[in-house]
Amino acid sequence: MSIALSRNRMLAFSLPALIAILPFLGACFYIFRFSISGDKASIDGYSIKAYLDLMTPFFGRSVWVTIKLAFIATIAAMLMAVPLAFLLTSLKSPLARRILTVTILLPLILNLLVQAYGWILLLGPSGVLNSALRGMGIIERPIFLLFNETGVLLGLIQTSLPLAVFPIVSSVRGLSQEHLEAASSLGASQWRIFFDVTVPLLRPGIVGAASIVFAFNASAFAIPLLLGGRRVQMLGVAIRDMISPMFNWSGAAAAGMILISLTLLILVFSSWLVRVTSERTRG
Amino acid sequence: MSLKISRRSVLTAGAAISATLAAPSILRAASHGKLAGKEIRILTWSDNTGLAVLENIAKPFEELTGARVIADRTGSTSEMVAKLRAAGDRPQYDIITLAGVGAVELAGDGLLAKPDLNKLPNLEDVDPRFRTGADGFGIGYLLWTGGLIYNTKTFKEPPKSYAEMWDAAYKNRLFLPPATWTDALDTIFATDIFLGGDGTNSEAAFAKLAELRDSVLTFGENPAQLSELFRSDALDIGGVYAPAFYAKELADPANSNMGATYDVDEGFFADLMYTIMPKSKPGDDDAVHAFLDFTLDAKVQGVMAEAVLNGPVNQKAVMSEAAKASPFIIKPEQMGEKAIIHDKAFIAEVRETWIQKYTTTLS
Repeated sequence: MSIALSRNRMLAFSLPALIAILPFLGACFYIFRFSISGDKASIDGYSIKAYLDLMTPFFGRSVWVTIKLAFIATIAAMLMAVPLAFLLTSLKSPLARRILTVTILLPLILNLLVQAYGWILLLGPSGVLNSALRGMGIIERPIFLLFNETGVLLGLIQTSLPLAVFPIVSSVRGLSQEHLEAASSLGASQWRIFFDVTVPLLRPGIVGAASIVFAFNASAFAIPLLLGGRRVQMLGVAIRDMISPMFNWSGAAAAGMILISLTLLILVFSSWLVRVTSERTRG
Repeated sequence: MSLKISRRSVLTAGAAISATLAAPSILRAASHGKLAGKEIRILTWSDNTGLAVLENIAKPFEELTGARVIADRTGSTSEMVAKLRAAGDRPQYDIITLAGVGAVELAGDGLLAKPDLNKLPNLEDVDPRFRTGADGFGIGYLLWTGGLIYNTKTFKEPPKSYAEMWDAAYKNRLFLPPATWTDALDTIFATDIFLGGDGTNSEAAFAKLAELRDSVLTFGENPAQLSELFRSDALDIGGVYAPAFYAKELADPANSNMGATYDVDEGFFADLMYTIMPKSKPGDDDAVHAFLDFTLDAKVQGVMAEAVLNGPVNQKAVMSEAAKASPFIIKPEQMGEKAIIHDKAFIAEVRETWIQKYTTTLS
């Protein structure tokens, strides 16, 4: 009885959030419907032509670049996030903890456009790095870390880092000290404890964080647009180009559906991975 | 003969002089009153040429007539066409200034109204070749010209051919126009011309352009960013692009490193910009025609030419001696055989396909 009441209450409290999600689901359905429209510019009839039209080397390259950059950025973000999460949980001073938390959170607080321009100010042809190198006489003309895949990668790693850190922080806080102490008392080295005890216990958090970071990076738009110099055609940019200048609405919708499917596939795969590895760890 | 000055004659003469001196302001006040309270919605470019429209046309027009000009700004003719098409028979704008090909497409879609030429007295001073276009739906506005932009540090003499863009020495120091701009269509044309064609063989041009895929540093969607890239010595050459964006930079090559040339073997591109009125426009017809006429005013045309290096179509355009002598402002009388003027009907037909191919070839 009390559980039923509690569920009803939860449902009532969740109602505003569920209503807020509805338009998004509606938009997803609308995009799907557009992707199977018989007309490029409006929803009219049914056809899978928009999907067939995407079977081109151009779109294939775009999917490949998206997966490649999102994957590399995710690995890099995770490698940076784990030590940061440990550092954050180990800090005793509340002030130091707050300062570090805010610093990590900054990319989420600041507008993506501002962050992209920050990178341009640092690494652009007349940015801090190039000016310093030219001032020292090391280079004559600017080196290019932006307007290419390197620039986009830097931007993706930096903007997605907080999404990687905080899920891992929760996992680190949930680490059982008893397990670690037991391993230590049995004579395991620090590295052995880390790889055989800590990492398996953190795995659900790490995989969860990685899937969020991957989804965020795969659907990136502003960063590849601004730091890629219109040359790094990730899917977000390709979809934008299909709408304008190509005016291919159904094609853009089909590409959007492929991006959504790709991201969902990665999320399903990662949750399967968590389940399987957790079972193995328990076993 | 004696001159008799009476009190009456002094008063009469004084009144006459006062009336003469006050006439312009009375006329101005009269016209001010005529359009006061009227609103005109215009769509113009988001770059500095659009800003020049606001400063040199919209603002003085408001001061002169009392009408209010509400401006919306967007990036390219393609986007203007898309906006008007999306609005269908309920356009938000009274006046749009865009490239000729856009006017032809929109006229073909039946989305435009024909301006009443009797309400455009300034049209009499416009070069007869550039008065109207797009089947009478467009009114000539200014000449938009495109050539090569180059780094004055790299090039001691201006480049003579678009073929320079394929020189391996400029790899990763090259820019091209963005796909949505008419300059991109010019670039396809220029490529075919230097390959020996007449500009319309897009297959050959795209095959050649594909060689530039790994050489392009950026697409010049943001003219200000391009000027920064030239200033920092990151770019060597690019085109087809309009010097119009760089009136200040071209006047100071020592600091900007920027030069521009129309003197290219394959020729330079000239496109007549049109002012168009959408059918079922929301604004008052007289106010809209007054604004349209004002864009052709000799003073306005001169000021615009100096501000953004557009070629004036008004033959009586009031310009400084420096502007008259400027190699970057192409006047109608200078349009020799080197000026390439597109067949707008042909461009309108191939535009979408070319934009798509340009994007997929070079991205």
